[in-house]
Amino acid sequence: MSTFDNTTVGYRGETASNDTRNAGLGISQSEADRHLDLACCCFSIADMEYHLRIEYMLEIADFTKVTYLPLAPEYVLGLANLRGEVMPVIDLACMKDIKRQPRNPAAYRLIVADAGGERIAFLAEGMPKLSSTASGEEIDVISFVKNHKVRIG
Amino acid sequence: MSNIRKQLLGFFLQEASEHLATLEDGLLRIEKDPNDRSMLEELFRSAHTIKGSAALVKLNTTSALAHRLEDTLEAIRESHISPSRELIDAMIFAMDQIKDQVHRASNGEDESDDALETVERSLKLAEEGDFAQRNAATEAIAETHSIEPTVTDADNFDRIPVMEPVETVNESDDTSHAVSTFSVQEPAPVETQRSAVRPSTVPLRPDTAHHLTSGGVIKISSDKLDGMMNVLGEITITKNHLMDQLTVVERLRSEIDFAGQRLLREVNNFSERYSYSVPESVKYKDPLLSEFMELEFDRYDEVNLFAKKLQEITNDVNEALRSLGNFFTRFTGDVGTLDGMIADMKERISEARMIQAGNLFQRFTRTVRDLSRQAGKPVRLLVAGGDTPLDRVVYDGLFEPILHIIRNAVAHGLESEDERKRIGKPPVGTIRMSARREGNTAVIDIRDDGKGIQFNRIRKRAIDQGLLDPNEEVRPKDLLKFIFMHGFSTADATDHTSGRGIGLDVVKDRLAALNGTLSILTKKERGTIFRMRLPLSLVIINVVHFRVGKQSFVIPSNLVVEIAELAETDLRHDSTVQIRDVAMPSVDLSSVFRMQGDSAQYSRFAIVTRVSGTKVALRVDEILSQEDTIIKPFGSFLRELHYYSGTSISGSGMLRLVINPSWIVEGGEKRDDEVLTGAMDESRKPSVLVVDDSLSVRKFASTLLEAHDYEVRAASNGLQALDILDEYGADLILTDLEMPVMHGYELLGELRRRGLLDTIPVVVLTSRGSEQHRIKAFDLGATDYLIKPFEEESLITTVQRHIKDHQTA
Repeated sequence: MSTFDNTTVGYRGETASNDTRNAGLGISQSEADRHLDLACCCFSIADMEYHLRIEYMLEIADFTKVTYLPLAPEYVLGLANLRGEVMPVIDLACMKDIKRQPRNPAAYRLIVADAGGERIAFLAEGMPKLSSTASGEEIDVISFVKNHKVRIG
Repeated sequence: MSNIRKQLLGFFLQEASEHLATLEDGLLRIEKDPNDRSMLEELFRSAHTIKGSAALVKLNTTSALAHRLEDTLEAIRESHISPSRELIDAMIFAMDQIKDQVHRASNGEDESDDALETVERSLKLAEEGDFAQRNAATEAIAETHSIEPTVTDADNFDRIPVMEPVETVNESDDTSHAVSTFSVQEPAPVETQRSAVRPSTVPLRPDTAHHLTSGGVIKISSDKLDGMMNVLGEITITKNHLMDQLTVVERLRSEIDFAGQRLLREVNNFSERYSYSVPESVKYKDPLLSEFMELEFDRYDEVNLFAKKLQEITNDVNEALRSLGNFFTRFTGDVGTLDGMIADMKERISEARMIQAGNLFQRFTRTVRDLSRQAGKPVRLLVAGGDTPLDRVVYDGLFEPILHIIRNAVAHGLESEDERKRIGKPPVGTIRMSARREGNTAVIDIRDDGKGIQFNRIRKRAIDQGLLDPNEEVRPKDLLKFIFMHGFSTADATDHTSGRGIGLDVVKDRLAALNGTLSILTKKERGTIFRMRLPLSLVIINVVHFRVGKQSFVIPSNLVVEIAELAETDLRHDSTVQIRDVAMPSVDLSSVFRMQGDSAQYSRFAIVTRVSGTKVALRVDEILSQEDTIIKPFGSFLRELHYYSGTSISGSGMLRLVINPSWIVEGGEKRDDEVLTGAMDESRKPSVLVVDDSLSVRKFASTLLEAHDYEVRAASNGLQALDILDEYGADLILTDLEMPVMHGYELLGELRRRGLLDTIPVVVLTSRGSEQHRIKAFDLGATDYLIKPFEEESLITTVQRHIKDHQTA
């Protein structure tokens, strides 16, 4: 199973710099400030906090039925079908070998992210927050898909 | 005009339309920017393509015109002349003449030869810079014949006045406007004016593009077709859901009908009893009626009236039920019609996405030539079934697998010329590519007449690489698994064609990605056949829906050989099962997927599929349905989870995984110890082709052979036999000599010409017993000669012997 550590590409392990984010975007400071109002989506799973940059975010969905995907790594919880779009659901707690406390499905949310035209959902406990302040570990979705994609055989 | 020529002409018109548009646009651009080298190249290519394509459809004048234009463009490209405005004019004139010829062709008219001379003179003068002469010449020519409208509906042509601007220029682009716009009102300097003069009455077709695309062919992006197919796929899913719901509604209807009939019966009984009966209490209530007897005057009380009302209401209900029944009958019929129309639409859009296999095969002509030279082995390429349609995605995806197979055939399969001569084979090796349609699948065979797969070399190399214990006895077909391994090659050295050990693993993976399968049939010194089976459409696919544990899966129907319910004795987790007395390896999907199967009983159903040529039974808990659906492939995150080829959503929105049997059986962790790759389909019955014009002989021989477990196909003459052979092949041919259309000797000759006598034994079965006939048959390559009437035992023994000899040869 792949681990999730600070040296892994696709996992920054640090709070993203707003300056870095705005660099080269061609927006004025005031516009950038407005963007910073919703700079990222912060969520937690198994008491660990993560955040995604807002530009990768597509939606926050209620936890829906997840179809089990036999023979996939454990961190792939299964496949979710959100209005005809099928996407893998990732359990970051499992990637870190942290055991989640069993909860009512209604307590979970799916953070749906766009990874270069491909959708991927992250399992979150409780309601994620859209915030101007990044907290927890950053998930760089593009790199995440590149580095943690399933390889069997 | 033959159909083929008509079809070719249609393609040419479509192609010419595009290239003429390129020429028109490009010449005007060159006029603006004579240094635009890339545009010059493009113009040259367009003229060159028109030249070649026109020649192909025998439009020789058009071809010659394009050739002449090409010469001028080449001279400009090589900087021998500069693209002066006069030259551009002359080239535009030449292009117009080509257009005219193409227009004539599209109307079914003959070409006009005059145009060639006109264009030649016009271009020559412009190239030499003698503009005065050129203008005089073109004007003179225009007056006499060629520039006058030559098409029959000349009246429809507009004419442009002398010095009319011929280019629309972006008004904001002042520079270009200044350079390329001419004006009647503002005479240009003398030289420019002379050079800018175009023939006085150049015909301009009002709707040229329309004429050039009026051959019934338009070109649309394949993405648009894919989009249409995807929408149709969604419609199919909704239709499936509707049909599921219809079943529920039908059940409700039956229940309502049943309840309604009961109600009617009861009410009728009640009404019959009480509608007209006069209770005692009523009889004497009305003193006015006291003098009437019961039958002399009707009397009603509340019960009578209620019974009557009930009867009326029930009649209404009955009528409503009848209408409801009629409605459901029509509705069911309409849904059935919709189902048929969707299937028809699917077929039509699929056809529009189809590309003929011949186009794919054509791409290998050069490859085979190059490989032949590199390997120093003379090779010829034969193709058959080129008109078999292939899905565009299959077409795109097959190039690489076929390339690997052909490389392997040249590198490992075919012998050197000397070796072939030494063993009595024709010096030139043959690779045959054939395609055919079988139901919803396309079957593509790549066959070589080389030495067959060298199992001893595979074994040796496997031992050398530590993949096989030297003491281990392995059946030849089990050795084949090694050639599908990445990095495995039997070549002693790496060269241009092979030896890198990447190839067949790619072939297998690519085919699996296309939901296809690969079988290998090989005979020592006779050659090898790589047989690929692929679905005809990859967008909407027919699937078998099944359950393992609590989860639903689907498998494409084209991968399913059969579905069987297992016998009680097989309801164990054994690695083999017996299906109709044939033992085959089995894989329990609940074990593979590490899922809890039905606890009360073992997996009861077997989906028989074919993996690398071997039948394998996939054990599942329940078969749920068969339906058309869309398969959505995984994105890059899951793409390498090869156990599945994607997902499918049911009409009710349920997500099902699409299994990839090839990987489930052979892939992943099980690859090392449970490989089931096979060489030949050993469970397949040997097939015999009986060729005889006598129905009774065909029937008798067929019955006899089938009784001895042969698969028999029959033909009434040699020509029919060749068709069957192309379609199905045969392990032995049993043929009469005297037959209509194509007799037995002709058949033998054709089989020899095709090189099939090396691989298929031919037994002559004839009433002609003379030595002369016998010698001729053997001279033509017959394997044996039987005389009618024949003994059953003799026939069977002969057939058995020759099939066995050929298989073990």
